[in-house]
Order: sequence, then structure tokens, then C-alpha cells
Amino acid sequence: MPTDPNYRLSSSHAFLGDAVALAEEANRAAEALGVGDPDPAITERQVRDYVQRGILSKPERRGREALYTFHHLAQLLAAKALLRDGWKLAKIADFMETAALDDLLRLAAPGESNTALAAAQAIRAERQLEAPSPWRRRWGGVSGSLSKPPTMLDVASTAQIRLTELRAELPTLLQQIGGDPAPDAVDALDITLTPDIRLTVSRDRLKRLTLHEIELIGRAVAASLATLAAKGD
Amino acid sequence: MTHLDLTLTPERQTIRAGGDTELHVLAKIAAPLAGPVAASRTPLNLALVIDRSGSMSGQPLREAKRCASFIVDQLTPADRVSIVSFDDSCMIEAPSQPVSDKRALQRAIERIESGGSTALHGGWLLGAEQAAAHCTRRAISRVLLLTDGQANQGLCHPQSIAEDCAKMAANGVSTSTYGLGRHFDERLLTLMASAGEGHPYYGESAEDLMDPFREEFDLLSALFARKVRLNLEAAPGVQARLLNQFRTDQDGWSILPDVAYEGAAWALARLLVPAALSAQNPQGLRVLTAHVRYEGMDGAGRHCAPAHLWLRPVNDHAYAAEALAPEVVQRAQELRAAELQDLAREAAYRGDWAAVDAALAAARAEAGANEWVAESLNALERYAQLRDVMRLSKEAHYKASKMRSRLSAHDEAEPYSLTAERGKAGYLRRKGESGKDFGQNPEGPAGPRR
Repeated sequence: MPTDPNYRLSSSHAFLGDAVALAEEANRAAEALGVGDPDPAITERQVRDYVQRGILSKPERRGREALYTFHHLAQLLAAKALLRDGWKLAKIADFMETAALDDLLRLAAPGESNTALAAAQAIRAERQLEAPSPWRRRWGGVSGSLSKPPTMLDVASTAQIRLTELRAELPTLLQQIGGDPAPDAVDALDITLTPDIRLTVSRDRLKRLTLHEIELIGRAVAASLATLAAKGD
Repeated sequence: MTHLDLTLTPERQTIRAGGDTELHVLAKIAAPLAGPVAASRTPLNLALVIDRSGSMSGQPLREAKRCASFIVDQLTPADRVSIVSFDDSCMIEAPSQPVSDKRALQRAIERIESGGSTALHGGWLLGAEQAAAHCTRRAISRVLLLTDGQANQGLCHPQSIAEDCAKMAANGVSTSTYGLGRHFDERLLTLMASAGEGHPYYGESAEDLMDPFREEFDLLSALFARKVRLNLEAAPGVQARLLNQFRTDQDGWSILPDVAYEGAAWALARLLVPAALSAQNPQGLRVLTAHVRYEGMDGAGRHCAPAHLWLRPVNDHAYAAEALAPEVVQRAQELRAAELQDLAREAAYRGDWAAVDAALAAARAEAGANEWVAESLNALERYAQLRDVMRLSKEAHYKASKMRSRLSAHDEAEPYSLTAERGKAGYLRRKGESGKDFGQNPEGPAGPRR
């Protein structure tokens, strides 16, 4: 969980410093964002070792000085998140070869990766507009599948990174859908999706759900399953 | 070059030793010339928001659908798109999705039918939400809003709607607007696009709509930098004022348009250097420093190396003898023409046609050798002669907006000609008439002069 809700990794976007400064900045950010395990702290030596292993890109050279940027900071934090999830160093290095900054930020600071949706919802609330729901009137009746299921190849190549992302999202998602302990007795509806997957929802809550909340709950369920599956590994 | 290049060009390299000096300075932020290959362009995450109110029925809606279909056709499976329509209610015709089944998306567009009044803000917000749900730093997220009317349902206040566009732009979803015909609210649509960090376009008739859609698609495909911010720091005692009317961010930096390959964003400042400063610094003085920060298409924040402007005091004779930098003079003429077009538009709304004619005559006189400004005035003068308020006000408003915030091409020193403009990327073209298809301009640069 983030220990400092006001901290924004993006505020360090102009970071430029040597290995010592990078380790310090990464430790500060990791603590504020709750990325990875707090111990052991990242050291200057580890920074250099990660460059050798290909986990961090090579630093920029200015004369005899080796300088690290925001991109290195994001790589370091993402590596810390992946390590916590049991990734091997060689596998992290493979991942870093193709990871874009956006992938790194989703791992390091999941709450910051999409502020646009929160902004749109704030506008809807401020302007007192009803939550959107009418798409089923149009889109539901379309013949042909628009959201094709991903191929097995897609799943295999992205499954691990998705699981790590989902686990990182869980605290934020629970907060967004009001994840307080449920009252003792609720009038609930039991939905059987398949014989071994059932969903229980309070009838009262079901009546009040908005489309956006339904989407968030879907992701929270996925995040919970990802977390439970990791514990069972 | 793999970064934006920031330069400062003064009207003259010198200032007066014996008196105050007023001069224009052009800050130019240029992208590299070589564009990316098509396959490597930044993925797009678009929401197409289409007005289906009653007034759109018939040809306008048919053309709007054709333009939306065109955009879908240009996209690839790496892009996402959603289709939203609105009259007094707002509807998701197709939720945001990768563009893997174009035919199904086009069928969704085809099904849109005209209805009632215009809940413009609600439609825009629904589109913004669709784009926001998939907004990432690696994609360009933008709402393209097309309307022929005025907001008359839900939130209608232009400033409030623009504020919402600004909020979404600050969070990664920009807004471009497309006005169609003569009855849309040009002030609202240009405000939305300016606050939304997108572009305002209009088509005078349904046939003129495709050109701006093409222009925007070309621009989005060639973007090099976004969130471009400029800060001008005048030396103590020097006054500097930006003339482009850019909005500013929370740090007070000016918000410049996104920059695409082969193009440059620019800002023109008016400086006043007092005589006392020239007298204290006979060897020359640093009058201005420019700082630029921006975001690359990989989402990483970057800074340009600061640009400094040094000027040398000389006597009045040498000062007067120095030739003016043509590019700076040209931009100053365009910004002055924008001011006069605003005056003409306001006068037309008041029904004061003598003031309209006077403003246009002043604009022509001050245009000097600026062929594009002269060309632009042809259309406005024609509408003024016809006493056509709606067409004059729209053309004046959009042209003024273009003159203040367009991207310039690297080779604008060349004489203005239809052939030269045709050879440029759509987003770098200087159209004679903003609301007309480039190919249909009845009095293009080669046309009759007044």
C-alpha cells in the first residue's frame, strides 16, 4: 500500500543523477508508493550490478560521469515490484528489453498510470450527470464479435506481467469500490457463473451499481484472484 | 535531430543606444524534418463523437458518417476507437475497442439516425470517458467532436465546458472540434479545442468536412512532441509580452500546440528595452531567455536547452539601416491580421458594417507583402460585401485562431503559392479559406486578386 498518498512518481520526471542519487531516489519513491519489499534498500552497488545484468539501461555518459534518468528510476522500481512477485533477475532483464516507460509506470505506480478516467468521473459527478449506461441499447444487438478473445500466444506472453499489474492494483481498486468490511447480515443475491465459480452481491448494492463501478468490480475480482493464485504458488 | 530545437529570432540584432527599443522576437520550437515510417506511428486512442440532432438530418449526417468511416478506415489494430452519438440523449454506438473489425465499426456508424436537441457536453463527456478508460502514455488519446449546432441541453455555458476540456487534456485526453455549416457556436468550439489542447476545424458545407479530418489524421500520425510548454524570462528592466493569446498552465508557462515532424510551434513576443539598459550595457545585453519543456511520444518528460537572446546597442542611424528578419515580420503581420479579424467579427455581430469594412481595409493595408494574409482577406471581404454575418464570423474566427496557433513549415521563406502549399503535409498548409476543402477553394492563391 502507498505510505504517502500525496507522493507522485511523475513529479520526479526530470530526475538526473549518479548511481548514488538514483538509489536514494528509488528508495524514497519505493517507500512512498509501497513498491516491493522495504528491505533490503536499493544500493549504489545494486544499481551498477543491474546495469551489468541488463535490468537497467546503460547510463548516459557526460565526460567521466555516468548519469541516470527518470527512465532508469522507473526501471528500478518496476524491477523491485517484479522481484517481490518472484521473478528471476534474468527474466526481469528480458522484460526490460522490450518494456516501454508506460509498462514500467504501471508496475511502479499503478495509481498514476490513468488519471484520465478519474478526471472524467469527477466531471460527471461535479456536473451531476447520470452515469452512462445506454450502450446496451445499441451495441448489444450487433451481429459479429467486436471484442475478439485474445489468442493463446497473447495470453502466454502477457499473462505474467498482467498478474503483477493486477496484484499491484488491488489496494486501489478495493478503495475505489468502498472495500470496507461488509456488514454481518445482508440481503444478498447468489449468482452461479459456473459450477465452481459463484458470486454473492448485496441486493441493495446491486440496485445502485453504476457501469463504471461494475467495471471496477470486475477488475477487483481479477486482482483478488491474481493475488490468491500467487499465494497458492 | 532527435529532440525539439528551440531558437530565438529577433526582428533586428540590435537595439537603439539612445532611446527605448520596441521589437518583436520569434521563439520557434522545431521538430525534425524526417518523419517516422507509417508502421511506427504512435497508437491512437480516439473517441468519435457525432451530433445526431434534428438539424443534422440528411446530407450533414451522411457526410459526418462518411468522415467517421474515413477515420476508422485509416486506423490499425494497434489503435483504439469508440463511437458516441448525441441528440438530447447520449449513446455509445460502439464502446472503445482495438480496430480489428472495421466493418462492424462502420456498421455501427451507419446505424446512427438523427433525433432531437443537442446535449453537446454530455456527448463530449461520454466520448472522453471512452478514451479515458484506455488512456496510456504510449497512445494519443483524443475526442473528435462533430456538431452543426449550439449546446442547448445539459451544460451549455462555454467557459464551463471548456474548463472540463482543459481538465481532461491535463489528464491525457485532448479534444478537437469540427463545426459544420453556419449555425454552430464557433466561440464554444474554438474554446473547447483550445482548452482541450486539440484543434478547431470547420467545414462550410458537408463536402468541406473531409479535408479537416484528413488534416487531423495526418497530424496525429506525425506527432513528435506533446504537452509543449514555453516560458519566456525577460532580463530585469525588460518588458516582454506574448502576442499569441496562448493559455497558461498552473506554473504560468504558455501551452503551445503539439508539434509534428517537419513543423514548428512558435510564439511571438513584443519586447520593450528601455534606453537606460542600453546605456548601461554598451557591449550588448542578454534581454531574453526561453525555456521549453515537453513530452516525447514515449511519454518521457524532456527539456530543450535554454535559448538566450543577446542584443547590441547601436546608434539610431545603424539601427534604422538594419534589415528586418522576414520571418518575424511575417508572423507579426499574421497576429495583427488576427486581431483585426476579431474586430471585424465583433462589428459584424453588432451589424456595424462600416466598422467591418474598416477593419478589413486596415488588415489589408497592414498585411504588406504577406500573401497568405492577403489571400485570407479575399474571402472575408466577399462575405462582408454580401453582409453575411454567419459566414464572415466563422471564417474570421477560425482564421484568426489558425494565425495565432498554427504549426509553421520549415520552408515558409518560399513565396506563398497553391502548388507549394499542396506539397506540404495537411497540418502545415495555409488555406486561403479555413472552412473550404483545400482543393475547392474558389479563390485559391492562383485565383483573382482584388
